[in-house]
Amino acid sequence: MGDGPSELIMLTTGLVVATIVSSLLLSTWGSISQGLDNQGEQELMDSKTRISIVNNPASITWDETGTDTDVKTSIFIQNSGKTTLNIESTYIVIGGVMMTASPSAASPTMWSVGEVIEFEITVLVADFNPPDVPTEFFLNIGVTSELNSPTGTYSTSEVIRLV
Amino acid sequence: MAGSSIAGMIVGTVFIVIFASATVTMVDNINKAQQATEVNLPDPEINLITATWTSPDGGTLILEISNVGSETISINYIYFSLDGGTPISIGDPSLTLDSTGSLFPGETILVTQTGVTDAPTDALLVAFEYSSSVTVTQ
Repeated sequence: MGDGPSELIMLTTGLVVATIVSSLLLSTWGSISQGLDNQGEQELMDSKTRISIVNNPASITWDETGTDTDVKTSIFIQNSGKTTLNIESTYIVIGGVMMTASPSAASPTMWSVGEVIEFEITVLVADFNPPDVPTEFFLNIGVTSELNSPTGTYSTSEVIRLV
Repeated sequence: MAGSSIAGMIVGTVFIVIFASATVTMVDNINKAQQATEVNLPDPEINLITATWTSPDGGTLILEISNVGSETISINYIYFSLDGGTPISIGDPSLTLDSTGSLFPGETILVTQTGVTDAPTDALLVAFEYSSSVTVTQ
């Protein structure tokens, strides 16, 4: 009976310490778990976001005639992933220069799986003017998914020959 | 003494339940993260077997296309281009082909394009991330 109060104090102290430590651990655990969840959803969406180039990379015609606003070439891109893509957010870089890429009037308005979008390329001659002879350039393309919770992203790089 | 022990056991059990629940949630999230590597993207294998151009009747091109993979693919998703020209879907209404709309594994079809006035040199077939190319014979 004489040990009663001290035992109660020790028990209470132990419970308080255990509660504090448990709260810290659970909080950390929850953050890790949430991080894994977010990362998993992001990686899953990125994996479903994929494109491939339909043009023959060995021979893409570049029209040097005309004005800066005229279409220089067309890049055909197929949605080869598992999710609908956002047409407007697509970017195309040729030879390190950002191109103005606009979907052609004949292209579908929804870029669903398997669909091919024709992007008409315009660029200022002062910014990009390939030589008259066939020349290789790096073509970089980036796309994002239509769904944005989270948004899937994908970019690819390929060597093309402009003729 | 007995009351303290029982209280301690109850609190301990509650903690164990909480941590077990947190562990289950974390394992679920880890499994979800691993699903990203299990996404089955379209993976057709469509070969362009031959491409033949004949000059009579304004120029006719005949493509022999075979599905050598294990996936069925819509003909609308298969594109070909000649000498780097504009890609055309083999499902385009301007073409003639002996197919009902899908190319099944092991199936071979003929695609005919008329009005190809200039003799092409190369033909490239593209379906998703798979491509196949041949020299056009005359």
